[in-house]
Amino acid sequence: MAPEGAKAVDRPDVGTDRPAAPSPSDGLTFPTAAGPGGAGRAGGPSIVTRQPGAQESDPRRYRNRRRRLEVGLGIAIPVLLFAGWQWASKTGALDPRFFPAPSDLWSTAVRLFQSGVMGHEIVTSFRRVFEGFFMGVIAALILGVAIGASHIARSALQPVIYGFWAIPKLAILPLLLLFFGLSEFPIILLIAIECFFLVLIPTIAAVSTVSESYREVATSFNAGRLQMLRYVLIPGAMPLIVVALRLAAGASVLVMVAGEYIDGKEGLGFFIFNSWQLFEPKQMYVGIIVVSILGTIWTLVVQAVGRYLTRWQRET
Amino acid sequence: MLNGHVSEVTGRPRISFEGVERVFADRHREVKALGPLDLTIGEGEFLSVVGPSGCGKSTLLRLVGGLLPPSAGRIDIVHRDPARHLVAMVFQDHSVFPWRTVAENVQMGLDIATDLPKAEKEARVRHWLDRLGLTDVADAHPATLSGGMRQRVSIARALAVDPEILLMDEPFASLDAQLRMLLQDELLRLWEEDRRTVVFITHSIDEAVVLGDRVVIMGARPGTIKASFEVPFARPRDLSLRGSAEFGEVVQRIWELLRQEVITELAESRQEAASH
Repeated sequence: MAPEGAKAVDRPDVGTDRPAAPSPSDGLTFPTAAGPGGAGRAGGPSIVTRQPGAQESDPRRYRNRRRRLEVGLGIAIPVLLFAGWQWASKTGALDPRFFPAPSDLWSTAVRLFQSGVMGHEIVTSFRRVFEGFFMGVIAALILGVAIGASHIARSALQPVIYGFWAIPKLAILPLLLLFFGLSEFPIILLIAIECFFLVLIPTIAAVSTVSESYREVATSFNAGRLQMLRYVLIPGAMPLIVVALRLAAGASVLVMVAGEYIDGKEGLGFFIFNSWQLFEPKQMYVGIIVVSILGTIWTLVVQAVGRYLTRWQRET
Repeated sequence: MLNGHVSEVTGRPRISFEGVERVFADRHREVKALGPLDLTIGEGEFLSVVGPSGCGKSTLLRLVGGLLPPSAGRIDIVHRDPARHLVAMVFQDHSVFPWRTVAENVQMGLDIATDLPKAEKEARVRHWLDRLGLTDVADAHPATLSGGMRQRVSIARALAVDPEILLMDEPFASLDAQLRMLLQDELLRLWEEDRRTVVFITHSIDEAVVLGDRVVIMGARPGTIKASFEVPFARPRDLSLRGSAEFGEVVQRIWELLRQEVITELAESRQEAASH
C-alpha cells in the first residue's frame, strides 16, 4: 500500500507550526502531503515514495470485483427502496390509500395485463411516440444538415428557428386541437414538433462546426456538395446528433403522456389521468411505472443505435 | 538580400505564379497575407518552402491546391494527363478522419475523385498501406494510432489517387524529432520511385534541405519570396547527408537569409501587440 510504503521516510508536517512535533493526525494528513503536487514545506530533505497500490498489483481481480460491486449496487438499491416501500405501506407508516404496497401493485398490474387493457394502452401510446419521433427527427435531420451546410440558409433561417423554439410546445396543443379536432393526430404532431426542434438545433450547430481541416481534405479531392455531406459533414456531426436523438427519445415519451392527459380517449397518459379521476391509485402507479420502464428501454435503444453510429469514437 | 524573385528552374515549368496576391478580410480590416509573388516550379521538382510563422506558406499551398482562390494575379498549372488527379494534399495534423478506419481513410480520395471499380480501389489501397507500413492497422480507427501512424495514413491517402503534383503542408511538424527523421527518409525513398512534382512547406530548414531540390525562403507580412536557394546535393539522398560539413554550411547560409525575416516578424508582432 502506498501510504505505508512512504510513511517511514516522509514526515507529514504540513500546516503545523511545530515541524518537529509529530502531529496526532499523522496518518490522516499524510495522503495530502504525498499527493501528486508534493507540497513544499519547511525542514530538511525528504523522500516521497510512489508505490503500486492494491489496484495495480492485481488489476484484473480488482476490476472484476469493482464491476460486481457496481452491478450489485445497481440492483440492491432499487430492491431496498421497494422493500422499504412495502414495509412502510403494510405497517401503515405510509397511508396505503395513497401509497399502495408494491405487492398490491403487482397483482393490479397482472390483472391489467391479463385483461389486455394495458397491452392496448401501451401499443396505442408507443405507436404515437414512434410516429411522432420519426416524423420530427427525419424532418430535422434533412433540414438541419441542409441549413448547417449553407451559410446563407443559416443566416436566413436561424432567427425564425430560434423564434419558434422559444414557444413552449405544450402551449400550442389547444391550437392543434382546434385545427385537427380531438383526434390523436395533434398528439403525434406535438411529439414531432418537440423532437424536430430538439434535433434540428444541435444538427445545424454540429454540421456548421465540423473542423475546417476535414473539409479541406475533401475539397482537395474535388468533392462536390453531396460528397462533402456524405464523407465529411454528416459523420463529423454525428456525435452531437446522437446526443440530440437521445434527448428527443426522452422528450417524445414526456410529450406523449402530457398530450394524452389533455386529448385522451386511450393511451398510457389517458390511463394514468383517468385512474386519478376514478380514484384508482394502484392503477395510476402501475401506469406510471409502465411508462417509466418502457420510456427507459426506448431511450436505451436509441442510445445503443447512437453508440453504433459513433463506434469510431473512443470513450473514456 | 538576394533579389531572387525569379529562380532558375530544373527542367520545364510545371507551376507558375504571376503577381499572385491573397487578401483576407474580416469585419474590421483587410490583411494582405501573400504577394505580390512570382514563382516558377519545375517539372518533377521537389520544392521546399521555409519562412517565419504567419508568412503565408500555407496560403501559397492552398492557392496551388485550389482550396483558396487568389485575390489577384494568376497561377498556371500544367495538367499533363487530364484523366489523372492533378493535386493531392498532405495536411499538418487532424486531417485523418476519426470515423473511418485506416483503410477507409486511404480509400477516401479514390471514393470521392474516381470511378474506379471496387477491386481496383482496394488493390491501390492495399499497395499504399503496404508501402507505408500500415497493413497491420488497416482496420483500426485513427483514435487508436500514434501521431506518426496517422501522418502515414495522410500521406497514403494523398498518394492513393496518384496525383501529378503532391502538396505537403508541414506534414511532420507535430511529430517528435526521431519519428520525423524516419518519415523524411521514407518520403525520400517514395519520391525517388516516381519523382513527381512536390511542394513541401516546412518551418525546419534542416528538413527543407534534406528533402528539396530547391529551398524558397519567404518573408512575412505580406508573404513574398526573399530568396531561392538551389540545394547542391546529388540524388538519391539519404539521411546520412545530415552528417556532412557541406550540409551544415548550406543550412547555415539559409538560416542567415531567414534570420532577418524572423527578427522582423517578431518585432512587428510585438509592435502590433503593444498597439492593441
